[in-house]
Amino acid sequence: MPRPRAASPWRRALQNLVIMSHHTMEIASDFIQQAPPGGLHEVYNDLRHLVNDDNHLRNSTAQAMSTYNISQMTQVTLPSGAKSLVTRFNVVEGDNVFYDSTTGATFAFDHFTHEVSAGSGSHAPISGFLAELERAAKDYLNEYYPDGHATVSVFPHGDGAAICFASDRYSPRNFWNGRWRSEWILSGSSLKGEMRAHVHYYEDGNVQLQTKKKADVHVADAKNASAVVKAILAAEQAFQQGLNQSHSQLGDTTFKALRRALPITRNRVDWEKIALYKVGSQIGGK
Amino acid sequence: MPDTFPSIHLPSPIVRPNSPSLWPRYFSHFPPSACSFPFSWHKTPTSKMADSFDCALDLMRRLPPLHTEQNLLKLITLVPDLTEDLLSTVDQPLKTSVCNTTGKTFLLCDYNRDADSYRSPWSNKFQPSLPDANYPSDKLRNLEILANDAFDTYRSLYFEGGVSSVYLWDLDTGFAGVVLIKKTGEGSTKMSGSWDSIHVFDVATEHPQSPSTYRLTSTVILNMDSTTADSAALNLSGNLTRQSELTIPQIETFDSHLVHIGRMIEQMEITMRNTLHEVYFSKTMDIVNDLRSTRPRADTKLQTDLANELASKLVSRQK
Repeated sequence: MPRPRAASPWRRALQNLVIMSHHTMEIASDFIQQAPPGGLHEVYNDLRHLVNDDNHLRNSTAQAMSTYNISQMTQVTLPSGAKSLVTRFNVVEGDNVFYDSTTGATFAFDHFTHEVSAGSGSHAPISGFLAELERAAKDYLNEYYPDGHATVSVFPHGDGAAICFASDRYSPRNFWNGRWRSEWILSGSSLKGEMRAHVHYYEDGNVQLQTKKKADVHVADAKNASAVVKAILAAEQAFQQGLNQSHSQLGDTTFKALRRALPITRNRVDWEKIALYKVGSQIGGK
Repeated sequence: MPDTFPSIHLPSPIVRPNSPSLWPRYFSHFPPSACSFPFSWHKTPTSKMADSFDCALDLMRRLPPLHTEQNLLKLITLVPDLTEDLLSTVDQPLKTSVCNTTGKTFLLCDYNRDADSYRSPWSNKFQPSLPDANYPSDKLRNLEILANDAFDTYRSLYFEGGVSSVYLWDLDTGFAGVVLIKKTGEGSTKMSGSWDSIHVFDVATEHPQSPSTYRLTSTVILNMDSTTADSAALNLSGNLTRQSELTIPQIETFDSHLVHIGRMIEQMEITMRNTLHEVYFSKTMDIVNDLRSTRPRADTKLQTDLANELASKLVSRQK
């Protein structure tokens, strides 16, 4: 019967970690930040069981929950039925009151339950060029993003605009969830973007695809809303096509080089031979 | 007769054979029942250890598999009572060591560990040396030597590189073992990958003339990375676990166990390689392309219309 580890590297690493993290709640917050798409509530529920102190957990992870929801650009349905986003660009108050770009309606967002309620104040909706930009972006969204699963919003940012796309598909019945988000900052004729996709597949296992790319585009006609959206379309197309390509390359080369489907002889191993007659080294071609 | 090889997938929960220390090896479909109650913030959670263990495993099945090692360390800091259970249950990429006696590389896991020492399958010695350590019986050690030889050949045929190790231990009604294989792809600077196989099995035989039952739980950890020409970073990482069971009416000699175990593991790895290929290289990208389409809806609609038209023509022809 093996004895437990005494001073294994595990324990030493563990001790270092304990010294590093002043608080186990930092670990809980860290786990929340790593939650896969569609898995935030499950991660939090697991933590509730492990920590077994709801109030303490809730108070200590409020920051992590709001950071997660905002950075993931959570999609919300407003009391009016319209869809909107929770982002860093449309915060009205604290970290839980946001405004809808199109209507200016404010809404309160509960970072724990994801419940949305109407806000008391109001905010100016976007207008002029920003409104044109949002209309063009919505046309693009309708063409390339799946119906009912994606949202785009345009917000004023600095001297320009922030254009945010979010697309989520959850299929817990089939053990998979996925999220795409892209964020574009327009400033003068400079258009800077960050595109990400994250997929979680979890039937009898845990497989995740994560990818991201930054883009920096010069838009010659940056006062023209459709020219800006065309530039976004081109960059997102290039990213996704490149992704499809490198993905299939990984499967065709790297995966095949890790393990063959069958030995080079195209026959399965003769176990009688290699197990019982000890001629393994000759078969192995050494 | 590889094509008629019996392979039965068991319903959940999957229970692994006991490790030498009888720590439970446990895997279940998730979400486990303890954690799947409707989301509610005011309900007091039950604090039973089993629940905590299920929730800890559930958590590990959601956090990014690329960071399993770091997250496991953090998790046992959060729930120190579960340290040994979690370290022996959550599969991590295998570590290697070099045998002091033979100079050959071997793989480390909980099954060849005693205290802080690991037993080399090539020399049967613990490193660092350990007085009164646990060893398999002589009969089983002989089979272990054969098994290491055979799986070394198997590894070279399928993996064309990498490292393998087999460890066996005695049970009251038979024996158990683990077959480990690790392969790290050299690849190019733009792409890299690693494959870790962990096959844990037990063999139950009442007496030499009675049937032998083999139970196998296999996990493959597969991590792949790529940086495309336009500097997009892509990481695919994770693990899948599958089980099978087999009963052989009567075995010829004790060493024949190795033939049955070998075939069983070969069949399992072939099946799992197919599943991994499907999940990693078809499923995940299909989902990305569901999140955003590379073709405009006008195109997609045209295609759907065409498909519908074709279908209706086919139907009318059949009438």
